[in-house]
Amino acid sequence: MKSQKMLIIQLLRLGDLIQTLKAARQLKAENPSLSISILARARFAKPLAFLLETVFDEVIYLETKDFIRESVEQTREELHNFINSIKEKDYSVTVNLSFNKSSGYLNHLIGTQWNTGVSRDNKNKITIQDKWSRFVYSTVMRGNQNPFNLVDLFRYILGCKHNYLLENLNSERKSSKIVIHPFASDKKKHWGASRWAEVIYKLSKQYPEAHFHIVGGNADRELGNQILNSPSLTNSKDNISLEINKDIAHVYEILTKSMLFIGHDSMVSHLASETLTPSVILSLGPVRYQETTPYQNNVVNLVPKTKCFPCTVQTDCSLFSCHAHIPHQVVSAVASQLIQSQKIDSKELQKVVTPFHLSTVNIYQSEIFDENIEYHNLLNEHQDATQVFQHYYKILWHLYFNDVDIEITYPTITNEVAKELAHHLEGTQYLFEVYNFGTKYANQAIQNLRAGNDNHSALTDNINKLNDVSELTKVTASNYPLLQSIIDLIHVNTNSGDNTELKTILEEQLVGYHDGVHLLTALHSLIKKTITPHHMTHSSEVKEI
Amino acid sequence: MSFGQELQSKLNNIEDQLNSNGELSEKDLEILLLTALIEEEGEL
Repeated sequence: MKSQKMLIIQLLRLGDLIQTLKAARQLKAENPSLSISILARARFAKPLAFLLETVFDEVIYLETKDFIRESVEQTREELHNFINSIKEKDYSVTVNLSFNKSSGYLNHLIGTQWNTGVSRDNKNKITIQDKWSRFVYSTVMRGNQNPFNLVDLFRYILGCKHNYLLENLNSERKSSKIVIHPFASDKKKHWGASRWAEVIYKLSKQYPEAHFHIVGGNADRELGNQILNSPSLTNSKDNISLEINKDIAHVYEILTKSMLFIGHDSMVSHLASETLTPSVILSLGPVRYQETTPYQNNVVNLVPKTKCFPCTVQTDCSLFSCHAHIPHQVVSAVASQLIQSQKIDSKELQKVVTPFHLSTVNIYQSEIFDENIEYHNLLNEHQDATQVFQHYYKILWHLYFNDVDIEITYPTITNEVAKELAHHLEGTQYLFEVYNFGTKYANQAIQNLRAGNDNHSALTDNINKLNDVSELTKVTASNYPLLQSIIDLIHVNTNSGDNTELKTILEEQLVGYHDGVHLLTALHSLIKKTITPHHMTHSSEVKEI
Repeated sequence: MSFGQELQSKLNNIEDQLNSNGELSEKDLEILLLTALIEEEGEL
């Protein structure tokens, strides 16, 4: 039998490539005979070739400047030849994990028999065939309600069932190296020099034998020097190496011999998880820890409780309040515990760090299960409404997409959060009614179509009402923002097929709204059971259709 | 005509085609792909 060939398109950056690699490794473990290739931008994939080649049967490099000729037509011709060279490889399936414009066109132009992820058709319309990619497109790109790590989402899109963990083959972990990556692509995402200097100072006092490797790219040189030249580190300079613009393979080698990694969300944090280096991550600015935590066990992610956190990439900020809400005292103490025992003991932590310093930060530690990575809140505090909804959504999406029942636990909440949930309980009732109308009008429109030309005005009427339903859901999202995930998903489900036939579009709407009704019924039940101990009132019961 | 002007002219034609509810050819999609690749090079 001919072996199956898959092409994964990943045209984003280094971190995304490593996350893709992790998911593809899982797929390969489950399907050893499957041939998997990756199409990636040369400038990101070439430095990672040493890793990519351990999983992928072929790495296809895309270098835009190589296509450029004197005229647009000649350039297009070069691009055409490149696409043809991919077509000749005869892939049976293409999986687009990039969700950007270029990958959508490529996905369509490569034209394999099966494709998943975003594709842009010959009307320049976005079409998405698979449910998990629809979820990523509708939810992950738009807000803070996605409960899943990106590696898990990639695994789900690829159809992985289990989680195979990397084995720790590193016998040299006992060395005293600590890798620090204090940089990030956006100022909002990284601390300034003084806080990093404090952490290094504290750890160097505690571990005089430790050697610190500050790693970064060319753009990070100035901040790196500021840290290195901090007055507090004058006596520790011999134990600090500034490793700027070194090969990724070189950084990987250092990480394999290190006892700890500390840094922000970046490619290096994902590289550290490839070497199973115990890691402390500081999530700042627009970083959504639940999506970006490096995929390995026992990663400690420090997440500020700042009201505006996480912001967005577009947010203009000069205060950096979230930076101050991760105190360097917490970072040093957590790092120290990880060095000593590779796990965090919250009671011990509370002995060495003051309640004041712990009050502004959540401390999560990761644990990988077959279904997904989980984050345990080590200070075991009450969850806010967004966290509660992330928890609900995890249950709902596993059931809806994977048909997997995960154990339902009801979060501990304050009365204030219970009030917010009660408000959203009303929202589920309202949205339930709206989606019920959606199923009704879609159903009627399908009947009108079947009846033929005599029902043209009734058909138009029902289609107009379906447009009203779509508008009403937008109003609902503004009044009940925590329902945004369901609203976005149902919107994409009812609008992103590759069908042009009216009947098929209407059938898609019928199924989409019907699914919405069922999701809301389940969500209503989860909210109700969570707030019941708080004696919250709610408007009425959700009716079954 | 410069490269940029030629590209813009082709993009205008594609937009006209879409506005008249026409379907894009493979060549049109390759032009859109090229444009997206160039734009994204600057963003990444």
